[in-house]
Amino acid sequence: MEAHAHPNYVAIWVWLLILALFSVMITAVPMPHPLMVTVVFVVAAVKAILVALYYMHLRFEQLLIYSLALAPLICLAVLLLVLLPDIVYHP
Amino acid sequence: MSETSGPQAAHAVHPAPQGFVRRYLFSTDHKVIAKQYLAIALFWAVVGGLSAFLIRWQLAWPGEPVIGSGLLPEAFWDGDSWLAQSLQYGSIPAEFYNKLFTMHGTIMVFFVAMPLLLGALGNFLIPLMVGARDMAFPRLNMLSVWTLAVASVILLISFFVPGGAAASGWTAYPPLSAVPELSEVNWGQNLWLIAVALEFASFLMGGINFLTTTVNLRAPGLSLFRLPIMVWFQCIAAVLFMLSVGPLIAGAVMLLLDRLAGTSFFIPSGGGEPLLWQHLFWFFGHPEVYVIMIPGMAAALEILPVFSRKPLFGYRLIVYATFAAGFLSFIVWAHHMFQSGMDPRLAMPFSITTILISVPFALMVFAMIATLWGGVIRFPTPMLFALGVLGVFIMGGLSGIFNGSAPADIYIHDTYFVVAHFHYTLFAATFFGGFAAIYYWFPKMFGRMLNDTLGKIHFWWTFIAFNATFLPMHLVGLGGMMRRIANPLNYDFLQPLQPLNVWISISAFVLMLGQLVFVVNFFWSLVAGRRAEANPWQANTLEWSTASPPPHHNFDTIPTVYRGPYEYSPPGVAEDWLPQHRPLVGGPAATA
Ligand code: HEM
Repeated sequence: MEAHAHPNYVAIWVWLLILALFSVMITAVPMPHPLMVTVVFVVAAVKAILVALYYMHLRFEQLLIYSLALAPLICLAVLLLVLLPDIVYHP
Repeated sequence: MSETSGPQAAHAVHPAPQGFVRRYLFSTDHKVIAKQYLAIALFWAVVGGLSAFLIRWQLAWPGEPVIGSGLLPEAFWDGDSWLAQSLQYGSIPAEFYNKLFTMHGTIMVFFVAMPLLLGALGNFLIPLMVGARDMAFPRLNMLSVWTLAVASVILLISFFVPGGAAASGWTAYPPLSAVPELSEVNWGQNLWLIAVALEFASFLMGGINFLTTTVNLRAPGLSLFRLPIMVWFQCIAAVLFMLSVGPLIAGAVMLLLDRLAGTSFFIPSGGGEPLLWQHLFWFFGHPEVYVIMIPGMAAALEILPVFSRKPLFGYRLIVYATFAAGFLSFIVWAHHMFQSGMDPRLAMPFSITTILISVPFALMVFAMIATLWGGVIRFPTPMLFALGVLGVFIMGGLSGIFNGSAPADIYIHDTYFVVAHFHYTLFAATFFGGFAAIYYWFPKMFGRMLNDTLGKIHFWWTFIAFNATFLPMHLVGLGGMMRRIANPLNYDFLQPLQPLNVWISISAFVLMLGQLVFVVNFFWSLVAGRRAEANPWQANTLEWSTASPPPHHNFDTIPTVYRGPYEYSPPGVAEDWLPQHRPLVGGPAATA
């Protein structure tokens, strides 16, 4: 029935677990704080992309579907923009 | 009327499942699921109403034992039952008052308005209005209603755990909500967070179904701009919900971690930022109130053309205006926070967007009025309630303009003026819109008509008592009475307002009493109401083209759609309506 192959959901799940463990353990490694934050965020982004591509099937859809992913990204940008003055520059 | 085949057969016709459990409890039929949502909403409406009763009792007669509590023996109050613990010898202590308004708001918004306006209406109407046999994902649909049921049970349990229910307002602002010692509520607040997060998950699943069904399962000929406004609005509401709820689910988990795992996302003493929660809450909260508002408006917009026998004025305009309102709803949230200590540079832009958002809603109101203009208006109960939505919402919209501009809001923030404002909007959508919809679609849902005389009594009772309750609240608010206070008599400057508070409370009790008329009508009509024909209101949309109630598979043959949904009194046709699915054979005069 389905035209595309099913991804190996369990394998993706294992990857997510490994990445989660990794981002917890990396905090034990001594390194400058900004670097650590960057690493943790990059790992988080990779996990989010894995979920979107496989669990949410974006990889198996037409390109058009990516335009839908734009709306939440815009929302995110607006939210962050307005949060900045209150969160980052708060005395 | 033979079997369905060919491309129209979106789903094959399955026989209805047999046996009570499969048919009524674990059903995948969208019509049964809609009724389950309706039952959940009506159950919670009673609890939400009871809490409103206690709130108003306390505000009118602070400290007096609640009426009827004297009937219980003295010894009962010395016992350790839940009731005896909550009420002190029948009167309402301040800690319990905090729980009352918190749970009242939570219940009314998340467990009455959403299950009624989205769960029940969306589930029942979308497949029928687009000419589908069921939702696109029937089992996901069942999962969504059962997730809501679990959330309901958790919320109910939270009343009875040690420490009692949550007490930090329906907005759950930290640090009050983050540090158990501050509100003296521990498990109540944890369960509140879990219940609300589950409720969000439930409506996310529901929304996926709404959108997929509308995009993929429309009957042949049903182009997007032939969709009834109800379907449009349910889908727009689903999108708003999806785009806004994510940050708050994350926020709820963070708040739970603050409470349980010792993190300090929102606790200042640990370096956290309470304002972050307020931003996350209202980034969701403002779209959320439109998620409720929009389907309530849609009920009115469906009903007005039917009973004025005129096409809906400005169909496309309404759809576009709602898109605009939906878009704007994401950039107005900080108008809830003018007084929060947020960066003051945000006040001006958020005032401007807030005033801007009244434009699309005003357009909708004008479209409603223009639909009535010159029509042949009839006034059965659904029409009365639809007009009620219009009238009450105009009032709520007008007071919103005061709240929206920062300089005015600084004075009225957190007063009863705001309480009056949001009840004029939320009550308009939830109960005027909800009742309009119930009176209008009850025949389709249950195959019988509600009694119209009782309906009219119910409407006028509700309408008059509603205004008697909430109109004076504006005055009390302007007089300076703060919301969320358990005893106005503790404040000297509020003493002169007490007669008004008594008036408001008595009106509120009259309002609640009036709902008994509806309860009687509902249950009496279920068993003994006049049997409804397929199309009792002579309306055009597809749900009226099938039997009342519809068979398990909705349509014997999937209808083909020839026109938009609001062709009333079209020229050249003998009758004053022209259903969407009726072909015009042999020239414009044919009506077969
Ligand atoms: C029976 C009619 C109702 C009455 C008499 C009533 C009364 C009240 C009162 C007096 C308050 C203020 C409590 C305080 O600040 O101390 C309140 C709060 C609230 N009400 Fe209602 N209400 C009714 C129906 C509704 C409905 C239908 C909704 C929404 C769909 C609703 C949503 C809320 C919300 C969100 C709050 C704020 C709770 C908070 O401060 O955390 N109410 N209500």
